[in-house]
Amino acid sequence: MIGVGKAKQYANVLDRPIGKGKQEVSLSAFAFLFSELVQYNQIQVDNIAELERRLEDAGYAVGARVLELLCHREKGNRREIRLLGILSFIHSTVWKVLFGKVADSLEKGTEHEDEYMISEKELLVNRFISIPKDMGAFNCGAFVAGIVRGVLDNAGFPAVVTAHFVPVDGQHRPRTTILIKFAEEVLQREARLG
Amino acid sequence: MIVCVAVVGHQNNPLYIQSFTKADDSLKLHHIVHCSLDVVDERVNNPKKSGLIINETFLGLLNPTENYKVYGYLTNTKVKFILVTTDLEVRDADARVFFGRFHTAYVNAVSNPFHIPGKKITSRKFAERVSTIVKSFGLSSSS
Amino acid sequence: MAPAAPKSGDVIFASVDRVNAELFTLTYGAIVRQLITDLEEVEEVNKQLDQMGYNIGVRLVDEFLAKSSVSRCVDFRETADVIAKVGFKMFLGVTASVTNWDADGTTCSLILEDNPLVDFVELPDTCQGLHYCNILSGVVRGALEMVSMKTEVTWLRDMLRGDDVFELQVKLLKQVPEEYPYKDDE
Repeated sequence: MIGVGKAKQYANVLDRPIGKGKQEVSLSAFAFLFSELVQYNQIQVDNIAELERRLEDAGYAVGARVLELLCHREKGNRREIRLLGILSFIHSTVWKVLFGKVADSLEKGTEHEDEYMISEKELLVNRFISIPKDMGAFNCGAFVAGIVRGVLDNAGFPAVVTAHFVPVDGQHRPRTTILIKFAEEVLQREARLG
Repeated sequence: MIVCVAVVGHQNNPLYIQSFTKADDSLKLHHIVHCSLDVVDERVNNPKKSGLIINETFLGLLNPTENYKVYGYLTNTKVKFILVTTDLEVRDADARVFFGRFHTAYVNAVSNPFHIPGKKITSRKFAERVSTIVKSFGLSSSS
Repeated sequence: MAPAAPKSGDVIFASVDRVNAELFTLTYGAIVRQLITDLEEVEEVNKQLDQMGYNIGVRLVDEFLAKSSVSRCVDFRETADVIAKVGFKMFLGVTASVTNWDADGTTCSLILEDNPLVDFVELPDTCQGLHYCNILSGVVRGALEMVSMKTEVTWLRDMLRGDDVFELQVKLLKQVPEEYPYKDDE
């Protein structure tokens, strides 16, 4: 990495890659930090929708940067221009780098042509947060929805992205579904590409 | 010799532009960069006609003029990098090496939490790095 | 029953669940940006980061003691050493060193050469007064308070301001005797 941080030896300093993304911190450290993010924002708002919007904003900033980093590092300098390509990039590459595994599933919405869903049985950010009863349907996954929107938007696929709890038969805990609704222009372009 | 490099946002808004000449020709160079943007759009929108591999970031030589060669590069985030050189014998390989390094510097700059996506790149480190990359142009394409 | 021997930071770090440092780094960056937008004044941002760190430190100490099998350190010198070698490693995957002890052993410095919070970060001119890593000083202060040590924690060197390392000075103000671990005032 450029600037601060330890410098590895490269024949030409300009060819030094941008961190391999292999460094790690403890999950607890991230959990503590994330929990502070949620608590700080909770004080700033007076309703759940606003809290989710602020978490989504924070996630968006992360997603925009993750896209730049991963495209340069993982994609071998090819541009992603197809809808399914960018979705599978998020479902596999982005998920693996950020959460250590590919997402449990990527599905197309059955009712609407412009909707896709990425689902996760236990989304990382929901693993360590227990939501007080009075916060109703609040979902920390709004942060991850923001990451997804940040990636999509900056790759030229504007979309509305939201996080939802979905009950699973026989399971105590609901899974989280990230619902992606693409802007009309995206589907039109996709149709043109054939 | 590289005389100008530019980073241009997806709405053709300049994010960074720097000329490297002693002469007072930055206006002319900015104009060349500006004109090359249309060529980029043309290429990307008509990939078949221009024989471009549809999703390669390196766009190759854009518009040779009498005194300059202009190369382009398009990132996944629809950001364009433009390189203007007076070296008419320049090889594509050198341009590729240049853009690879430039892209790394760019990614570092936009990963800074203080950079706002879509806004001008004001990082001093980026400027320093770009000037180093420009100086090394064509010297070591052996990688 | 003899107490279990304290584990090394490396061993613990290898055994805990981990996440990609970039997720952590970029999330922290997003938090700092949010604070700057909301609070506007750099001094206020420093305070809020310190407060967040303090909250974390207070909660983190139990996990730290449990996973490290460190019995409560009574000695400040020993405590500083454990924070540097085990604490930082266990949570952030990096090790700090302890130096610059004063004569009476109540002030020392934690030195960090590698700090996952600051990858990619470059302070803009408008934020020169920002202690970007102020959350860390809050964590140290909060955690020490939970083991009955009141401290003052200050940044002496900061790589984002051009220094060669991060140096966090920890000054012991008051050590509440172990027999009375709970504060009755405040």
